[in-house]
Amino acid sequence: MTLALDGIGVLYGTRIALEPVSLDLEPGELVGLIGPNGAGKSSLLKAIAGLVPHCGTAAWESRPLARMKRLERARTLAYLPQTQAAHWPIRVAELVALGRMPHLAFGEHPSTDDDAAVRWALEQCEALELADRRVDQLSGGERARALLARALAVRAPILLADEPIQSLDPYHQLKVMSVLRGYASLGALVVVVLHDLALAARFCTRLVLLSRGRVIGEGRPEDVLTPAALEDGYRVEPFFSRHDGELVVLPWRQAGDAGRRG
Amino acid sequence: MSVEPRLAAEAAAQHAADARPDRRLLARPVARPAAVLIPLVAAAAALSLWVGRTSSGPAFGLGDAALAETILLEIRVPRMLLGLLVGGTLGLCGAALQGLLRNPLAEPGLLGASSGAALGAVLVFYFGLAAADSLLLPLGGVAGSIGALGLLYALAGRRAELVTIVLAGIAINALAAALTSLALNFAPSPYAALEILFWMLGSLADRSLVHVWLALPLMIPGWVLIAAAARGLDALTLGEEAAATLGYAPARTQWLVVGGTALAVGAAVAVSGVIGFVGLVVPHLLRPWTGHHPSRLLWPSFLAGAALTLAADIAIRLMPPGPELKLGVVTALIGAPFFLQLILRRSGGLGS
Repeated sequence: MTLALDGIGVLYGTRIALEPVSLDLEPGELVGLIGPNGAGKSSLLKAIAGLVPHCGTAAWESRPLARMKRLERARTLAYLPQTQAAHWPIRVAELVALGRMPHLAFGEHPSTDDDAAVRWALEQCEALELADRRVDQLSGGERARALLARALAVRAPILLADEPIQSLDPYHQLKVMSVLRGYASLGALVVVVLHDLALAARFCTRLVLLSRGRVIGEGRPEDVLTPAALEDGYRVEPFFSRHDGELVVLPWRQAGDAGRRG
Repeated sequence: MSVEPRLAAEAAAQHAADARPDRRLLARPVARPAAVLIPLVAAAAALSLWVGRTSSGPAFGLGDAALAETILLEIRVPRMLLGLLVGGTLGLCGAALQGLLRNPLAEPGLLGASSGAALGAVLVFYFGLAAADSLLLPLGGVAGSIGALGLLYALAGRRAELVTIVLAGIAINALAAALTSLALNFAPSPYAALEILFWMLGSLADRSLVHVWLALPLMIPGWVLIAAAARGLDALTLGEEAAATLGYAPARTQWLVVGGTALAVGAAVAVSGVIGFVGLVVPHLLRPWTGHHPSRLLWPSFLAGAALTLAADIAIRLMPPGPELKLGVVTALIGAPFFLQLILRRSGGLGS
């Protein structure tokens, strides 16, 4: 079981958002897509999810996702959008249950299995106590947990998350990342777009560094997050350290700015 | 090829369910709204058969059995059926459009189908064809609504964004309104202009079963299209990208709702004229009752729309003698202040 990306490229009008990328991503991995704004991270994620017109193919178990039946594809690939949209004030349990829609035949109501999947997803996100709350009455962190539970409830072997920790407090950033890593450790492939290099280094098993629509680094975090790569990709000079045997990476100052502090 | 690969998560979930089987998180879809609304509609329908403009009750005033049967079968039954179908259609389509646009202020007239139908009927009046054959009027309305849908499709295109469709609908509404005004402007006689105006106010009076048979073949496919969009509307709660990755492409949901609304509402307007506010207020009222779930709102809105329209039509017949109030006037008179109050309560005042 592999997600094989073969020449995935994205064009917005005449602007190349992403030059063709070919990668094999394995189950059990938590893959971080990193890179500066406009590097093509979200474009790559959306192309895999089939949300934007693109060239190339993304194939799961040698079968192109684009050629699967719509519900089968929805069961194979779950997507957590960057916009934390929940347009109606429904109960959190009902919101999470929307993740079960690909499993329901026409006119079929959620079964006890679906109920169990919703409960499991809420428990993973420490959100079971939110089950009866209305979505519009949640705080930002609670809402992020509920929407992540919705994506987990699909129980797809592939989970794509577009900047899931954006605008969350540090506790929830760590929470979301550990939930994603936990899901990957169950045997799923999780691909996540990240801006936080420290969290990317700590939680991801593999990083793909993009810059100006091109992959400029790919591999284990220690191998990708080199001073040269960060200066080339992000135009920053990093600060490196180790804590409890783990790599700590912080963007420290703008590149070519060595004279000044800050 | 396994459709849902066995993640270890399956086992974990089973364990979680076994450990705490105390409570289901997902309530079974409740039958509560239907349990109240179905008897309500039945009562309104029965009352609609009972109450007449000049006389009420099973004897229909004169005690002539043959006349009573004629009044019941040829006047009150069609009127009751049309009230049911038109009101239900307006409620259903209002709920579907509000779900599609994720906006509680959307209403069935938004996409131009009802103003197209009105224009079609007005043109029939204008060319003096309404007197020639009373069936030409609803036929013109149906043609107008289908024309409006065709124009919407041509303007917006197949893979249109929602905002494009709404803007195209607004343009069609404006065009239909302008052409309707033009027809009024050049009306052959003041009487013809008045006839057009009165027709547009919306009414269920003086209709026959033929109108029912004319509207149903368009309404039923319209309802079916909207029913097919129900799951897609739920998925749209999470936004368009999440809906697409849940297997419910927004473009498909969009055209099911737009096409269904154009067919059903166009048919409704063609046989009854423009009846406002039912499609706006009814879903709004029922939403808290259905847990704000877009798909669970659809059929209760149908029932409540039917009940409200029948009730308004009964109220008209109970008015003191004189020129009969038009149904569209009554729904607007009840609906507008009611809706204003809803908005005020929602926002805590106009200023905030």
